[in-house]
Amino acid sequence: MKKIEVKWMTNKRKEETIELTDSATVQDLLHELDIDHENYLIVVNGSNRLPDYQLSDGDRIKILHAMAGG
Amino acid sequence: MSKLIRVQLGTGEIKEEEISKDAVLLAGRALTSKLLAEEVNPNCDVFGKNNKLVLASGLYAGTTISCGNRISIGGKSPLTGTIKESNAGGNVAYKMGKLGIRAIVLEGLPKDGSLQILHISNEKMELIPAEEYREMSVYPAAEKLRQQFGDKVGISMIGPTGERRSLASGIANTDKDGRPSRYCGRGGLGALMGSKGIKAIVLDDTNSKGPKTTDKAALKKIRSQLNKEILSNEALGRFTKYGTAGMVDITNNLGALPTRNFSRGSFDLAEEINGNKLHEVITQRGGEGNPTHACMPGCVIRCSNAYPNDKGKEVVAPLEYETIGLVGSNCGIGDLDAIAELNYRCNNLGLDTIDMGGAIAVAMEAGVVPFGDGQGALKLMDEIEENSWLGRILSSGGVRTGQVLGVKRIPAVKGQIMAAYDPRAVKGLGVTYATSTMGADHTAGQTVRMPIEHHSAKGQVEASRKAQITNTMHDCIGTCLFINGAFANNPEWLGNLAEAIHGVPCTYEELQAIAKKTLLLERDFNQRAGFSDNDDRLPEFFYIEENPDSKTVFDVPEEEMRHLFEFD
Ligand code: SF4
Repeated sequence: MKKIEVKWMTNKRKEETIELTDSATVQDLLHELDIDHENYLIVVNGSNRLPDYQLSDGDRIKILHAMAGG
Repeated sequence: MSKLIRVQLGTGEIKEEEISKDAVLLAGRALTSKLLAEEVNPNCDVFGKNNKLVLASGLYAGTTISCGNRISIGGKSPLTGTIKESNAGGNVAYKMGKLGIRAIVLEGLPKDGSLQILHISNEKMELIPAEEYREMSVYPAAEKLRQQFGDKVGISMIGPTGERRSLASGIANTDKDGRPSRYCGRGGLGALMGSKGIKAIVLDDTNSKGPKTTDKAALKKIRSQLNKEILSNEALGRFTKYGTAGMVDITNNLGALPTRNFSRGSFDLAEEINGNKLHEVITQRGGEGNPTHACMPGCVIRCSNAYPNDKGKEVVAPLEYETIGLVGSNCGIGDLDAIAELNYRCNNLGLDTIDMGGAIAVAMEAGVVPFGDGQGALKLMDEIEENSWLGRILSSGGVRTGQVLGVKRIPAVKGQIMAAYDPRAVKGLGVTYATSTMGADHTAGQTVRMPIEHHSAKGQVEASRKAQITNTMHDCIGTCLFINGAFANNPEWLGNLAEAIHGVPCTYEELQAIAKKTLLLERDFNQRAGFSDNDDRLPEFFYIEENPDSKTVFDVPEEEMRHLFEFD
């Protein structure tokens, strides 16, 4: 198992620690948190990552709402 | 049938041409760029009689299709020397659509350096002397124009900096409530309009019935389906609430928020200037403030806003992400009140906030005023207002200002300052900045929303290529890029809407083809103007100075970028 620090940068503004299996990817995290990749930007240790990205123990994740424009 | 209006400033002659049926799908940027490519010598003197200023409305102009009334303005750019199209919201294209006007072309030069207003209504078209408007700032001039021509007009106009041919000057367009704050800001088109001696183009659509929609039922049906899509789209809903300022959190967390003249990508005061803060200040202060506002008739997204001061009086509308990034964090200013005031001052003087944010930041780097000094930045605006030499230098944009002041780090491509995304941290935008026919421009190919790892060099050329085609397509239709998401499941609606209005077959594929053709036409213009692949580069510091917040440099291979315009 690995521990992932998750910080919500959305209206929730909450921080939590999530435990995932050793082979877990961003997709597994999304599943665990019940959110989809379309509407959220997943930033792992400062870089945004796609669903197939393999997570590591101690990763610090920020979850942001994806933006429609800008 | 829509028409094209040619105004020959040398003789004062105004002529009307009919747009032929086979050219009816050429609108917006497709039309400005085609006219320029065919009629303007790419090597002409930008302020000479051979350059032209072209305004074109889009395919949906005059209807209330959401986001369907953008105005495209083009010319050979005084700032970059390339072909240029800059577009904005507001009510000008709507009025053009109502009047049945697809394009207005300003040609030649006024004989005696006179200043005039071009006034177009259903009954007449005329050039009116405007000496009393000389050196008048944008807001008071717009007010006076409304007194002269009535409240219901749409206006495209310049401020004193446009009259002075300052290279960072843009063209202001009125929004649906008459505020002259929707800017075709980029590329110095205000200076080009100033060189033509036109202070304002005033459009009065009283008694105008256009466009003559061919299939009203189809139009109505698709429009209501589209509006449903917009209203059920979560991301667009957040956009309605926070406006473009919602982007601050994203770029700040990616290390892509330009900070202190692009020396870093995260700003310690980001939370003071982000979408949440903006929404909070506007709603708490109330009064004339408004967190969600539509810039044009029919817009359902309403990403615009009105920012009030602490007494509830409107300071500026809208306050947008690019301005917050360039005039705010890029100048180290973490105070929305100061940013709003700077935005208003730029608007009132007729200046592009992006290039001016770049100019103020390089002046800060040179020590003219310290980073973070909002009051100092406002004093620089006084210099422009007073038309001092320093003011003249600043209003010629970030590149010239940086060069005069001996600044090494100037974040620009082809003479134009980058928008509020550090290209080392959103590398697809780095590719767009480098290769765009427009110089560094985020709207030319926005990749930040694409499913791609922004810090990686991989796939960025392909991402930028796709974005450049899609964004150009919206520029050619005359739609706001923000609406693209609402067409995601039904891209064919884009063509169906045009077909319902104009009665000629139009498919999504055809719109894509027009976009590609337009890009190639623009590239050819630039090549004839002397630009080559060697100009498709970022300044060197982006390749060798690591952005300390994203911990990246720009490393997309140049060889790969050279194939960007090889479309299938
Ligand atoms: S989405 Fe924003 S910019 Fe586009 S039309 Fe609406 S208010 Fe104007």
